[in-house]
Amino acid sequence: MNRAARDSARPSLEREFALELRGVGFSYDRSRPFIEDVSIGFERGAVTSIVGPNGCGKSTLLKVACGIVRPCRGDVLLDGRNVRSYAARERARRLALLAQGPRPPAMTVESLVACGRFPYSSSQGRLSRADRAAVEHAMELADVACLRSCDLRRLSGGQRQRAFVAMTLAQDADTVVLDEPTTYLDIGACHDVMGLVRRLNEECGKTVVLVIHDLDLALRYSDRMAVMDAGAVTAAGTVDEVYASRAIDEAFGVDLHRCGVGSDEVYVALPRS
Amino acid sequence: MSFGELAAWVCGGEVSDAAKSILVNVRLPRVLAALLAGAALAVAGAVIQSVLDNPLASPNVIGVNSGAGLFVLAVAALFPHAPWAAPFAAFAGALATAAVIFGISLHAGASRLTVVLSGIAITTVFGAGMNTVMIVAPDAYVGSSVFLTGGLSGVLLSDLAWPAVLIAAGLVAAMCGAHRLNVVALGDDMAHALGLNVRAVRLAMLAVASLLAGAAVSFAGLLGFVGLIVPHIVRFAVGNDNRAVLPLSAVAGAAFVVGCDLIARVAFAPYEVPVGILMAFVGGPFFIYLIFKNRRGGLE
Repeated sequence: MNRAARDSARPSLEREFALELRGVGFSYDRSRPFIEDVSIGFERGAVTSIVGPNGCGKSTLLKVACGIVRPCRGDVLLDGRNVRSYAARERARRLALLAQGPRPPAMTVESLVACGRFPYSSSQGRLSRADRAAVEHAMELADVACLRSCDLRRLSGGQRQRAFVAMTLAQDADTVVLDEPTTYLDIGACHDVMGLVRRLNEECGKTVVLVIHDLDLALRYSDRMAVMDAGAVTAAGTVDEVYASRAIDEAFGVDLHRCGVGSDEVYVALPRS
Repeated sequence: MSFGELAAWVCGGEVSDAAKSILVNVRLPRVLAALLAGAALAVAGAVIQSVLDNPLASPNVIGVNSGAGLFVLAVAALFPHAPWAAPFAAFAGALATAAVIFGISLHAGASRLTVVLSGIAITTVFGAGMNTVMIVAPDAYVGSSVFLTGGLSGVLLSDLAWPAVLIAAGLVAAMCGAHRLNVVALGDDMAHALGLNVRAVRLAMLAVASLLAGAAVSFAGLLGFVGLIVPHIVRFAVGNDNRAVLPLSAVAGAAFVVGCDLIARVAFAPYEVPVGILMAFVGGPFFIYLIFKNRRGGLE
């Protein structure tokens, strides 16, 4: 199903926000704001990519959205309720995060994925039958079941990232936030991970919000996009809307082109002449 | 006393009263003390290494032991009639030091090596403090030179009562927190997203480590390096899951100190070396080995 068909197939009733920022401001030092008055909603059931130049506040925005840091202004609503008003485990059952470039701990893939059950299991980490089933299911989906007893540190970047995605899957949250899931991966692994993200959305109905640097990957695999520049959201909407608005061109100072390659299309960013 | 006599006694045979007395009043407390100190310090080391995410950290390296030691000596000098206060003073000293180190580790940009170097500086200051106490009040603490290197000779069963209770409580608390430490290892943001209150877990587990280290220091003195060496050996053998590492560190630490104490007692007979000296001979080179091994692993 192509993107336009997917958009129109979804009834308008479903257009509610899984995660929403309202007038959010944040600063690391009090003197000048780092993020200023950002309002954006992440539609339930959609894959939304946030793009923007380095240091524009994308990763910070995710930290605010996940309730890791407290915004100095505005509200973050997760399923309609302030994200910081949830008990920690209750929030973790609704919202999962894959942080940027996680340092691989010295664990096997299976123990890593089992960590995803932390919000459900006893504090000793003993797994119930339901927990085991969820871990198994997550490993199958992310295609890491065959690597279950491998040490994470011995895996390739792509395999490792799939294992981390499996952990967030085992968390069984409806909304998954990924901070630069493809950074440091070779291009084959990038498509592999983004294909997995797409499957999470289509087969498991997850709402996915991700920060990503590669514009082609972002435009190719997302339903919706948001463009950030200097701490503000300069454009948000469907991929076609954002592409047409030229906001990406403005933010990065490039000329973005959509070119047909056979039946597919590819996005190319060329330097401005 | 020979093994033959011990075997005879265990089997219900006749042994001399002197031998019996040595066994019950000298050897038994000493072995118990070694077991307790070894288990407590090894688990404290494993916990501190996890909490600070720092393979070089251990109660002696980051100054927790010397903080406890300073408080023990100071309390002994100020309140000579309250020997029972030693473990509590030691806990307070260990906790205060751990809080300072934790504050430094939170400071933006503090590398793991910064934390270790700060600990060494703190150890120096507390060492000076302990020497000052011993010069000002030389009679405050009997056997203070053994205390400074860590030794188990002359330990009485009555010295061990409170520390044993505190160590038992600390070991249970550490085991209860083991899985949370595993989640902390995923990084602060991921642990938060999994529903863990990262800062609360870090602080609570540091307090547990301080309790363990402080209780051990209160009767064994500044026993170094068992908290550094044993957790590494255990992790090398069973991997990084703290649910296995912590209990095995307790067992291995207890065995390690009992073994070292035995060697320290008999190797130079009729002279006896405090076990802390023997451990320093092993531990110092091991520390340097760890620095080199981790140089490429992001200590900077």
